[in-house]
Amino acid sequence: MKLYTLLRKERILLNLASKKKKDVLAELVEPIAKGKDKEILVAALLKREELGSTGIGKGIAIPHGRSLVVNKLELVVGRSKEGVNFNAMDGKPVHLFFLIVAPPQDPGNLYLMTLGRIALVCQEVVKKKRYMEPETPEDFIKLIKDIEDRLKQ
Amino acid sequence: MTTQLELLLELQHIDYMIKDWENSELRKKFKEIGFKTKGKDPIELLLKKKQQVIKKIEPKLYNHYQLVMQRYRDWAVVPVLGGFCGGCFEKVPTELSGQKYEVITCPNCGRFLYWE
Repeated sequence: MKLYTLLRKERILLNLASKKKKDVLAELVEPIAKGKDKEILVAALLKREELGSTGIGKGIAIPHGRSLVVNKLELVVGRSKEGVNFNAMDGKPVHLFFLIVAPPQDPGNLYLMTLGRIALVCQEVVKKKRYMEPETPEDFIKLIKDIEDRLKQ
Repeated sequence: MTTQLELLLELQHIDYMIKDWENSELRKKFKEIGFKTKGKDPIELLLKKKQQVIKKIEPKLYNHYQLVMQRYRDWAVVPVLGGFCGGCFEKVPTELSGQKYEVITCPNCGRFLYWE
């Protein structure tokens, strides 16, 4: 499974405007849910954040959750140039977000695979802050594709 | 949406999270990625949160929630999609949609319904 195949250019937000956790999540959710669905999804993601931040350090956060709001796994990428205080483990601001929302029943276990793939790609993308380079969503997909092509497997 | 329905949805989200942390493969992956949780065991924390939510839910609604969850093992609070129950996909009688602000269950499968 390749991560870049799950990326859609309309779901790559390279200039996140929000500065707060809740607002960022709302902004990230926007391409996949509107109105009431959006509220429900943001509430579910915040519930997960209460358990412990999904900011894993080095400027990356992977907010995730399951919800009936989606009928298949959805991935949204967001980048904030200034960074957002996301209570990350290293205390540093988060610049790159990978939002994963999966339906409660996920027959192919895509959720697990996507999480693993993101973690793998993140190890490369944080080097020299490469995630800051892309100017357009297409460039971002290309960057991820290049990284994945170089990775073994 | 009524508060009771919101609480039922919250309960369902907590149940999903518990299920994920109970899944050994997922749990391993979460740890591998480096998600840190408050306290030693996330499940313990989630169960505590679940208890807090249950306290606020009317007992008869909670009993019904448990019954539906046990029966279908998937979801108990579902959206009405285009007039159909999001759980069993049977048509929801139109007279029920007039009572949007009450806690309503699907006449076919018994799942709690909410309108989008």
